[in-house]
Amino acid sequence: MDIVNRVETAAAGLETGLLVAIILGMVLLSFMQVVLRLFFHGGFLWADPFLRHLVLWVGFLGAALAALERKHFGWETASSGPGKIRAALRLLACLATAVVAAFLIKASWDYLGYEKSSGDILMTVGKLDVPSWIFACAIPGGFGLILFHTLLAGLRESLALFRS
Amino acid sequence: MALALTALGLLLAAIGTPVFALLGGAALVLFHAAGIDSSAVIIEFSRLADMPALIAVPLFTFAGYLLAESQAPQRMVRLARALFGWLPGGVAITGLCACALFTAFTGASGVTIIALGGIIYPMLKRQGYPESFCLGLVTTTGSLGLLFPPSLPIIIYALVGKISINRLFAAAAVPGVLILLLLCAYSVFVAVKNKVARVPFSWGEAALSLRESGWEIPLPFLIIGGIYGGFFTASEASAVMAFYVLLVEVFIYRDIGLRELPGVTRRSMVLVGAILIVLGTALGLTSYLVDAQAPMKLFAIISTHLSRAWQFLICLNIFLLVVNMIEIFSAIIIVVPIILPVALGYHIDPLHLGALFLLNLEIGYLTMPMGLNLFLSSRRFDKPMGELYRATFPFWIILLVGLAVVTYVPALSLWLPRTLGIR
Repeated sequence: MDIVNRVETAAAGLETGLLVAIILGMVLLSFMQVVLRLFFHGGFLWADPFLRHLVLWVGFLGAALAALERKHFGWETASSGPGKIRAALRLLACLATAVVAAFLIKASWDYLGYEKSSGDILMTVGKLDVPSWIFACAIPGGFGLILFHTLLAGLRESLALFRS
Repeated sequence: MALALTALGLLLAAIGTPVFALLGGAALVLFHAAGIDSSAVIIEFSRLADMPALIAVPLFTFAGYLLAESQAPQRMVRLARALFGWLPGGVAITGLCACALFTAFTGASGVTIIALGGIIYPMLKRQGYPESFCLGLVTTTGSLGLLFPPSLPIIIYALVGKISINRLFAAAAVPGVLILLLLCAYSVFVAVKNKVARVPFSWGEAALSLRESGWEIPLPFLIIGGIYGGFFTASEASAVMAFYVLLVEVFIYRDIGLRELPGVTRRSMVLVGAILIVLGTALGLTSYLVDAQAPMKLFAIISTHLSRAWQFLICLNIFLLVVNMIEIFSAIIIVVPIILPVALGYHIDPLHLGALFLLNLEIGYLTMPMGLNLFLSSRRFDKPMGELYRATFPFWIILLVGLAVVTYVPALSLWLPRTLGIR
């Protein structure tokens, strides 16, 4: 149990750190774009696609943390009952979520393969072409993080269910 | 087979399986049954990154949480009290206006009841308002402001319904003002009837509270003026607001220390993540439903029973009040893509539909027995649900009157976007 908590806390710390960095970067870059457009009729061409994809990253990191904190939208009434029944229902819900997440990872892995072979370019920064598959990694990676936190949550529920 | 899978889905929903897993699972099953590769679900999901206005969701939410966790609520209530307290019903009006503004800027996620309720409820009681009025008002105001820019539900509705965010901001604003005025009128009535004392106006206090909130007062003008004035788009407004609020609350007022910043960021992005993942997984499911012409089939069935638009609107109102028991963002994301084409079949303007849809959801927050605000208030003020039902009932009736007007007077929602000529 202790090790589960420690692993989870460490992962959440990393995710939060990454979130803070991305959000602060997004705030600064998007504000700069507004200033450049309003006052100088300019702006960086790469900034808009870059920001749009960062939203995806932020969304997945937030969703991973939401899985950890049980903050995903869902019907809570049933899973708020007394101890053992609650643990059993939550465990079932975790398992269902994990199965769906696993299939979504498989689907996004295939998607990533297609993106890679298409060779599409997302943006050009200076002379560097950034292929779109690099940003598409967020999708299997994000579902992977959700699966990871969901499995740990399920582990916790099953410990609560079978221990006493 | 289809029946068994539907039953399984409902069962999983009932035990609390997250909405995104239900939607994702349904999309995977349906695509598989239609012989389409499962990566198509992800192709739809990845369209999230093609929505240029989506960045408004994380940026507005981040700014809203920064505001909510700073001392801004206290400063705002003090300012509103100094400006409106001398009116009959002034303290109640203060509460209404402060909550409306606050909810609009923080995204209507129940933060208002937690952050502002605790200030306004004792303030109203001290002033001598009846207990049940105080409780009802605080519970109602938890979602008041949902119709004002830059509220998050409006943005999500516009993204899902593929209409301009700025036009929907304008369409929802007049119905929002109507509801606010109705509630203010009721507050004056209660104050006069119960001979509630007024707060004497003081120039000193007004000047002091103005100076105290000096950095926050420009914010609504900057954001709302910037959007309506056509200076920037909704997503640009979110960038300006996030930057400004970060600067003001962290570096000027220093209400939020740099050490607290990760916590606030995390709490706000958990909400954003929960919304975006539902949005993304729903894209797969709704694209399947639209390809299967589900909305047209639904319209064909409904229109044989309800031939007139007004009949459809009544049924829609009732349906939405019930639906909001799910959760406001999921309700918007799932219901809008299906109901919008049906409403178009009845020649209902999408902007009008948006305004009444959102007002319905606002009312759904206090609809018995399961409205979210009722739960939040019950928890926050430690009152039994029965007492909350009684306390919110008059407010609920007033909002329903407002809803009837908004539903059957389309001009109310369509006037401002036309007048401003927003695209």
